[in-house]
Amino acid sequence: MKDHFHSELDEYQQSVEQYSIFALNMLRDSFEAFRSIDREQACEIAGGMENHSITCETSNGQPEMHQQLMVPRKVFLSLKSDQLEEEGLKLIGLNQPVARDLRTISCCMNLITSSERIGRYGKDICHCTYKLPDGVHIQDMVGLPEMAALSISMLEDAINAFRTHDLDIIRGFSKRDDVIDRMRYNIYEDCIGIMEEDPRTIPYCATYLLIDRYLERCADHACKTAEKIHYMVTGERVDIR
Amino acid sequence: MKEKALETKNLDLYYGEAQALDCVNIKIPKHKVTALIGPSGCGKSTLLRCFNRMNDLIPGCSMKGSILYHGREIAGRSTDVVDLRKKIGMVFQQPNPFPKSIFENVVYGPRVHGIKDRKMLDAIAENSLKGAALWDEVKNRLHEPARGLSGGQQQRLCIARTLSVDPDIILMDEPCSALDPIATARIENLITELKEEYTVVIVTHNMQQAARISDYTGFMYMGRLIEFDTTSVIFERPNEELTENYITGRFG
Repeated sequence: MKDHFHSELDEYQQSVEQYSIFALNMLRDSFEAFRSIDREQACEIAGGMENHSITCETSNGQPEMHQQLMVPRKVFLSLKSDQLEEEGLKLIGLNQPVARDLRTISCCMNLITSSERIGRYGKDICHCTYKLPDGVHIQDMVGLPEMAALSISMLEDAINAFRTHDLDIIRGFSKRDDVIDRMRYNIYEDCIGIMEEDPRTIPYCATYLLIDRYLERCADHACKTAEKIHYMVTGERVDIR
Repeated sequence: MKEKALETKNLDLYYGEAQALDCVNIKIPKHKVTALIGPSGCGKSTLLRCFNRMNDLIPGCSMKGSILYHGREIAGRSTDVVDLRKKIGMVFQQPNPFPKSIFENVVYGPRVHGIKDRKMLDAIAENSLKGAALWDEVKNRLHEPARGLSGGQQQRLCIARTLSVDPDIILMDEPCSALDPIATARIENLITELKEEYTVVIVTHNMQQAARISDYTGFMYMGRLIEFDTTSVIFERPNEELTENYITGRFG
């Protein structure tokens, strides 16, 4: 039977995992909306309402207050991040964990920060989508879909490794990140070439360059998360880039 | 580890038939704080008491193996235990000042060892009380009863009493467990200062305290020393699963 603290820690990890899946879905869905230039869908992803639950503990013996708020998804992303961070600090403050328990909370904190950033990249891709002028994509988005698939698969694997503690899942991250870095520069050069040939492509290609950067950063977040997962599981630091 | 102040080799200890220490091999580094942690009855206080032969006072206690103090065997009968306890002092869980004045408590040891000169005793009292971070609080009331001091002050007085005979090593057996958090913090600060001049070995049930103040930590279980390493290794990534389970509260 688990003691109270370890049950709370398990629940906390599950909450952090759910939050990271939420953020990853925002990124994945927003790229799909961008690919199909679906402005309505983009608006829904960034601004659609999400249920946020707030619990207030009162100090004067009154029962706890629970409040459910409907907030836009991009606001939820930020509120939930703050809430999870506070919960992590409370676990540290009240239980003074050490060794793998402390490493687990440290890994959770990192995953929260990365997930918020990834969700916001999703929101930024939504902005790119509804600012695109009317038209169709150029040259099948110059390789962006392949890059998005790779970045998203790294994030999925990082979340799986966080849940299962299986380090085999993240073992090839360094090479996968190298592939993404190369893709980023190829897309950059291709876009510059296309824009030089035909300036009318600038609104599209400039957007590709932005998203190219976002996806590369997402892969970096996956690598940083993998480093923290490795530290959480083994206590040893590794450098993945 | 640069230099070791104490070392045990294959140390076994029995209280009658019951084995309390089982082949303990430990090296206590000089001028460092070493913490001994472990569940009740694991042998940590017994090991601490071995270092100044306090277990000799317990009927039926027998010991096998070797205890070296700066390389010199102290487990044998030829050791002068009075002299040993002067060099290896001890502070206990409950503050235990004598029913005398603050001054008399501090100079009790030096007097027993033959110092009679008043100026010398005054100097020893002042230096010892300063060393125990108590001087400023008691300098104007040195001749008042020691038992009028607060619990935390009494414990620092006991540390001053230990310092008064110019020890080399200070053993502490849960020195803060009877104190409030403020007094505990003062003793912890003091321990950190004491290691500049002394070697400190502390037994504690408070793992955060061990993590805060010690340089090395030993984890004991059922009379055995399971793991001994730098405190950062023990509390960040211990090598033994038993240690990890104990410090993270997944025990038993």
